[in-house]
Amino acid sequence: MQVVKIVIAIILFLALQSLLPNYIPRFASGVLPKIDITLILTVYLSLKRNPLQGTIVGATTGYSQDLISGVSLLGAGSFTKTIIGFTVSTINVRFAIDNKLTRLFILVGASIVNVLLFLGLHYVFNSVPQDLHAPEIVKLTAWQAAGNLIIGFFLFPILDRIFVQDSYLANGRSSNW
Amino acid sequence: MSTVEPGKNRAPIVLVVLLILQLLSMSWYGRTRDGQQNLIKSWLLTAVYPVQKAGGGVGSFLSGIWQGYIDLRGAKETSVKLQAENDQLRQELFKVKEELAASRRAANVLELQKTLPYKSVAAQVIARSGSDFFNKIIIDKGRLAGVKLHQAVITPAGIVGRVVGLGPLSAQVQLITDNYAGVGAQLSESRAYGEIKGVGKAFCEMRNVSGLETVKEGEAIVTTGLDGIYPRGLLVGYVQEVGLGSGARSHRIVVRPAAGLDGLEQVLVLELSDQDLQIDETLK
Repeated sequence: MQVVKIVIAIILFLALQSLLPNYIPRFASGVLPKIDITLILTVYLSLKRNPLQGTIVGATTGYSQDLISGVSLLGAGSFTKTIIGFTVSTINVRFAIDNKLTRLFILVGASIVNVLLFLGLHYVFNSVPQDLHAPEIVKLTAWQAAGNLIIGFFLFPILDRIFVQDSYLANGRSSNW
Repeated sequence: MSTVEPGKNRAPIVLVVLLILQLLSMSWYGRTRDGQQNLIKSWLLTAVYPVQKAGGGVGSFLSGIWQGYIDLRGAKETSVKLQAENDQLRQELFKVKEELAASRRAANVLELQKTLPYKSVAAQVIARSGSDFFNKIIIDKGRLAGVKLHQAVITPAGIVGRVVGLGPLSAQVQLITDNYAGVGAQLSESRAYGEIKGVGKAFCEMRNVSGLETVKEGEAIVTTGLDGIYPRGLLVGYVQEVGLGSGARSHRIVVRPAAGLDGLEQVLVLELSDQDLQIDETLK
């Protein structure tokens, strides 16, 4: 049942992410969108899952987003979100950081890693758009961290209701997939 | 007796395997660019289609509620009944104007469809990518409506792009402003040939035009038909800026796309024959 919920959530978030530029173009378009709700979902689910599941959730979300958004460097978003999924769930298993305040800090950190790693991969593979210099990258990173923080603040409680009592640690570290 | 936590030991192995696969994917797609169709892409386009399609309706509904709330607050603040009525009338007028403009745009597309010498499918834009890295849109017609890969997509104002992803009910279109888009083009006055390339921004560049040619700002640029995607003579855009070249160096021409790519609503997908769809290997 949880797998079905997760798959539906991923599909729903992917579709919503592709619809955002229609309604809030200022925040959902540009070199990189200022709001990445699929990243918010990845961080949320990774906090509720063990490292293996967090890794798979990150990879699935990222790869699907790469395909749907038509990114030319297929795998860049997936690579980024796989690392975020693994790291967040591993840190959570060690330090139990899944509470209302710390998960927002984790989201900000994940947003920064998301932008820098995504752009870094594009530099490595020589696919970065022209005229993108350090001040612009800093601005992009700050925008996405702030955008995701604000949306995450409202979205996390909603996700808590959907994935009620679905914490890997709360369930005595037993997988319920 | 120790217990092994699920996923704890396997996670790093799975992580490494996934990262290697993704690096291979990036290397592969970095070389081949895009236009590659795959089964997962087709499934995903189909899976998100209902939400994207419904998204338009729900968005309008929610924005209607929000607008109503704003109107109500405005009425309270002003406490003038006439003002509220006036606002409401303005809203209605705006709505009617918007609907009229939308019908005109749809009528223009249908009119173009009738006059074109090719078969075509009219489609509506239902979603767009939010990043300049990948300027792509999703339209509400797919394989079942007769849309095929690499078909040209146009509006009455000019060309839009080509189909690069296909599901049964929807298709993904690469805009001409995308980093990896290319169009064979010709200046309308000097008749000089060149190549339109997307640069991941709102405009494109026309390259390989000899620095000895005369290029004027505002000059129209049309397709040559040599790329095997777009038929000859379709409007691409207008020269916005010219970085003058010389005998040894080409001009650097900035092109403003004629089709308003930021506000696309209705488009036409051209059904050209298979022979017309042979893509020039250098443009892939």
